[in-house]
Amino acid sequence: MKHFANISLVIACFNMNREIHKTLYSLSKSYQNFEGEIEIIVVDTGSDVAPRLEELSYLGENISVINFPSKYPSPVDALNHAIFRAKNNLIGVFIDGARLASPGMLNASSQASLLYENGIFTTRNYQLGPDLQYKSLDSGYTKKIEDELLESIDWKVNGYRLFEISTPEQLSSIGEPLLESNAIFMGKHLWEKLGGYDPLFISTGGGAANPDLLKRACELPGTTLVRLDGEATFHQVHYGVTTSSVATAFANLKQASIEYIKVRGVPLRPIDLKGVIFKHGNDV
Amino acid sequence: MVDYLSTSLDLPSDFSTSMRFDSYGIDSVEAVIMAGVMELEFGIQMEPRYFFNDPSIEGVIAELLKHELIVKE
Repeated sequence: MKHFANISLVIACFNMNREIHKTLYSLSKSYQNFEGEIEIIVVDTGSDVAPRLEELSYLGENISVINFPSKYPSPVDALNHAIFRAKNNLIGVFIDGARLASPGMLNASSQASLLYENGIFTTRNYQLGPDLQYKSLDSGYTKKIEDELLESIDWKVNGYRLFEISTPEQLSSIGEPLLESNAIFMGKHLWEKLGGYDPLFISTGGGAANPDLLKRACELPGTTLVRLDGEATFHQVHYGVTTSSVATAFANLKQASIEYIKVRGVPLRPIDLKGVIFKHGNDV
Repeated sequence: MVDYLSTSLDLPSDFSTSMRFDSYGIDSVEAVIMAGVMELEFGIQMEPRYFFNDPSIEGVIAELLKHELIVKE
């Protein structure tokens, strides 16, 4: 009996050459110890130096790089373009390609998808470093310090040690209200029903497109929110939308909040739905 | 403003305006989301320090009063 579902991964990339290679390494079959097929689509939205396919050959044949510059600073159109050309039935999306994956993420989402056909498979968001990065950068945290931290735990050998050098983005525990998940996995049929991310979210980094997607998915009749316990993504510092300085993070998040109210007519709030907690073959 | 914030944040009916946001499970990201809500609803320019000096409803209102962005009725 087959114990896995093949997965397509869509990874958004913009000016993160240092980070994207680590992210992709963390999603490789060997790192994930994954028996199924993995298709990886990197969608670059106009980087100064976009990743080149020949640099990524170690990931195997099922990788492609799409260059999709957008007229907006949002990756939403580019992600949708990639999502709807993905070939596997289970599709995982990273709206921010600067996130390392924990080493059981693909097995967990794959196994869970065999139990929950209409599952929305979520992971918790962490940020590498001693504090949330918009704060730690103001205190002198740098890419070099982060590289040393990563080296200190030998993350390529044991990715679960990433938890030791990271900070959770949300205060809540697993099972409590959830604002967003990066990565998020769903069956192709659900991505199609949702129409992917809403292209009305045009602000930097997609604004609130990712929490909006999660909320709409959970509101679809018959879906189940599945929280992958013990799996997470870990944001690498790249001076991004909400992880640069206090002032920049505040301005971008505030803009995302305003854009959300304008699009949806209500304030953005976390999803208050316990869902199912899933851990390596067991659901609670 | 207090009513609007408590409704927007789904705070319990017996909440205290002096309690820190995090004691209600509201983290810094949600606090900033609230800043956007307030900016749109009340037409005032919100700054990070209004939220982080004293992260409570009372603290935010005190900052807004101090910077004369709102007036006491």
